Amino acid sequence: MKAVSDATDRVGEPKSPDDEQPAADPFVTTVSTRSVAGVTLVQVELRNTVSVDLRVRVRNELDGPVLPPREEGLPASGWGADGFCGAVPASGRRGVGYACPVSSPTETDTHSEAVSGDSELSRDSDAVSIDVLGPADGSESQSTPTAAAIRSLGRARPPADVVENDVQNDADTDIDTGADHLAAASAVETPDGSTVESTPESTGQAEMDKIAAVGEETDSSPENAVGARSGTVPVAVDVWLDAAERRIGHAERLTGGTAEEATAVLVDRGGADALAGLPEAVAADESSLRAAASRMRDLAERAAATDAAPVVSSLSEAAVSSNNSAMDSHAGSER
Amino acid sequence: MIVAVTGGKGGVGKSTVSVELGAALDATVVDADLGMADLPTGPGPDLHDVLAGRADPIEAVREGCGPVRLLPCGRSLAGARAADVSTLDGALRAVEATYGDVVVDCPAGMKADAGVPLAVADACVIVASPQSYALADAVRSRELARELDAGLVGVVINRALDDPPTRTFEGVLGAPAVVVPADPRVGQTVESFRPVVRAAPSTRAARAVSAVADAVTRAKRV
Repeated sequence: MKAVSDATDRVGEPKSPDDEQPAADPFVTTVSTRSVAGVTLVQVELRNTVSVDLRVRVRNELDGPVLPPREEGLPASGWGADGFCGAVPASGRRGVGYACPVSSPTETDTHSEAVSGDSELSRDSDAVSIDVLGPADGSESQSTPTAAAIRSLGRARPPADVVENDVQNDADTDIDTGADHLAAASAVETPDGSTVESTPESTGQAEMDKIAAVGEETDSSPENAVGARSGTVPVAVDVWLDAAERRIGHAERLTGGTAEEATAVLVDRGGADALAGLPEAVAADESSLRAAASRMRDLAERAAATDAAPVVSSLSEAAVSSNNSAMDSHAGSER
Repeated sequence: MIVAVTGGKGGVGKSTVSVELGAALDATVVDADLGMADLPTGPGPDLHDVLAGRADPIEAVREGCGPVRLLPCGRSLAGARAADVSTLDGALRAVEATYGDVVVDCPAGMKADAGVPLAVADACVIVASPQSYALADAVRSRELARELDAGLVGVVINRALDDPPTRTFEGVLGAPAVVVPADPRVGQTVESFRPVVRAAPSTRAARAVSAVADAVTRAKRV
């Protein structure tokens, strides 16, 4: 039974005749959406008006995949590719929320500006569809035992800082965009100022932030210093380039590829959901790589044009001689 | 059948008991201590590779180079970080489907790397230290196993010097307990890869392990 109601909390806004709930609908549903940098955040509050625990399905109706809340890297209990399934207690409430990488609740609107007024009302409620599944009998065991164990006990992996050359699985990076993307969504410009398109499911944004983080951690590491001296590429950049190369490789295999190739790539990437964002991710890769390449070229030319050695060595000599005279006078005073 | 060998603390002898039990059952032993590999390894793909999707589980099983088939673990921090414990389920079942019984040597502790093998296993064995103060650790393991639905088939009181409080352990943990005395030959099991159940079957240690193996087999039939 599809039960979508527009009972919002807006004061003074009369309900239209269309919005009256059918008498049999046990739920009063409030849906609100918010667009943040190319991602729509959907909040659903379900109020159960009957005195029986009820199971409900909240299905995503937006034109994009569901990015659910995560625990220990796994989608939280009850979440799947379509949305959420769970129980609402008798005469109680339950709130669920998720993200969807579309720029606004409507399909045609590609701007991420705030939508105001009456029009938001109907768009919000169109974001999800609610199905009542019947009474909850306590058998809400949808998680596999493994997933339940991971969520409740926590993963035990060595932290990134102790692992050099930490190259995460590409699948890991893509699937992590749920959390990473939202964290990055608030800052459209990357810390180093290069422009990166924050397109839906673009991992370029998430990776720029990761690289900035890695850069902070490893700034003074011998590794990066060695890289600077010997002309090899620093670890953080390698990580980024490797990940981009993996995505581009997959996209190349899919370009006019056979069904067999396509299936192999599908398996590699971990399913159709992970594959869905690939073309956009590769487009983002292209623009980030070009932006980075031109900046790198400029910096290399500037580096080539410098000649700081003469001044630096005379400054060092001056520093050494002033240290020596300070030490002499100190030694003198001790006697 | 997948049997997990667990026991909250490090150093109680889980790996030794895993190899002994594996030999007694002619099972494949999987070293699931992702952070700190316990059992010998050699060139070729290991469990880190399997759990990072770089190798098929069957490719990582070593046969014919010891008394038991062994799926060893990797030894690098990077490998441990890249290993996704949520894929352990599929890996263990693949090994079971091809080779039969699997004995999983679990890591110490209470995190997902210790819990997931229990969640996957059909039954478990707890290895405990004989001192009464170690009973609390065994109880914690027992609780974790119960929470994750791994039926406790038996308790191994390991490295016992005098008569350990076997009845107490049995009463508290709710499963039959066997005693493996402190036997230098058992201490060498992992290093020399010569389980006493094969090399010295008449020893108390070997008979204790065989008793646990029988309990596992009985549980399988149920």
